[in-house]
Amino acid sequence: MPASEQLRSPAGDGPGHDLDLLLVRVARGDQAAFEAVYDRLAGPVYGLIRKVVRDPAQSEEVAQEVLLEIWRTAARFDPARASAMTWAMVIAHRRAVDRVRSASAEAQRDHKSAVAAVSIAGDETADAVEALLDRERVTRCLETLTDIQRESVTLAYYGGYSYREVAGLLQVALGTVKTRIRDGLIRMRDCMGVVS
Amino acid sequence: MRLLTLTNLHALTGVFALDAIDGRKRDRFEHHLTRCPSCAQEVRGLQETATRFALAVTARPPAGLKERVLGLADTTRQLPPAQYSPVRPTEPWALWLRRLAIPLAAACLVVAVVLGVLLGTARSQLDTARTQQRQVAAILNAPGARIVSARTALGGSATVVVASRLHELVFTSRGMPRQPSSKVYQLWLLRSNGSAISAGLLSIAPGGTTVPVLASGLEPGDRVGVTVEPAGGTARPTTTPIVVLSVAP
Repeated sequence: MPASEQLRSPAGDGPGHDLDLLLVRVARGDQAAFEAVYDRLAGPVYGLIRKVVRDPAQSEEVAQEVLLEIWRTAARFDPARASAMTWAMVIAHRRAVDRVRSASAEAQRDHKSAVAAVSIAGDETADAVEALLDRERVTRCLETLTDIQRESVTLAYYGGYSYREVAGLLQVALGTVKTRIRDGLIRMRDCMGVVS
Repeated sequence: MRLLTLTNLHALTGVFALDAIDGRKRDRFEHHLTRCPSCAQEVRGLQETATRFALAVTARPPAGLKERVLGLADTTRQLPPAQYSPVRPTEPWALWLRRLAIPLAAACLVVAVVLGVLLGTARSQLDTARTQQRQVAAILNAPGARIVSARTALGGSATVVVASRLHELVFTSRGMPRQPSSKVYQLWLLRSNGSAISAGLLSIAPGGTTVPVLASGLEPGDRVGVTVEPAGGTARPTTTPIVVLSVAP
């Protein structure tokens, strides 16, 4: 029996292709397309920033900057280099990291609680089934990593720490963290079936 | 110890993808990426992986943020494309057509089947390939061209680019399992009156895609279907289609 018909990416590269198309319209100043992009991206953008920055008011500020940057720089999005979702998440993560690594934030950060703070247990409000599925998949795949791989990857990404800081927190050599992060990410990539 | 060996540099793909590297080291690695396609490829995959981490912590944005962001967008000028960027497609669908165009055109050099007239009988292979390439390009660039895609019952996906005004389409697929030598995939144009017209056999190219098939003579209500048939094909479908796509509006 034939599978149900739908419009989707000819290259079969995932559910994000319509977002790619929307961003192309945003690049041409289409505000209706931007509203649709907002609806798709605001949750992931805010969730990620909240995870890294933690303070709700600051997170909202950074999220607003990032979403506006997506509007401003949509013409720089190149679908040949990344999916639209990844393009946006790279911007969001960099902005979040900039915020927490700035001098004033650094002074206030409680490094001791860092390791405990980066578990991805449900302390966030997920409002989409996909988010739950993603969370489940990420959690399941994280379990296949060694302890040091898992801690390095989550501290770097969710904690926003540089790998030098991660090495300090975990008390392991710098080179070890570097390779564990790469090995861990590659294992996650393969576990989650990411195609690049 | 300022010299980073190539191995060391390559190992930075992970920390780069997670923004866990700053300053000069980051700049150097970014420069390195422009000269190391395999590193750039790895970084892309690891960034897509990081995106899954991000999606896993999706949260409901604060009330009022949407109105603020949309309001700000209304009064904020957008940046032009970067200077080195290629020309953007004029229509959203053109994005996909553009992605399809190169593999399709390349594959067309190998072989293409044309419904109605079988090209290449009287002309040299090169002429045939050129003509087919032109026809495929005409479909991909036709105003109002649409892409329809669906999973097949055997796995993989089938994709059709339809140029309704030209009454033509290009069919391609990826990820369908190979058939034993006694079997073959056959493409059909399924008319609304229930008849089926063979649009040729599909050959699977290295990489798991099928060589694009060009079909012309589309009529309103036509659908495209694929069946598994005995080697050499049949005059009419003898099995249930593994996928059916509506191609004509």
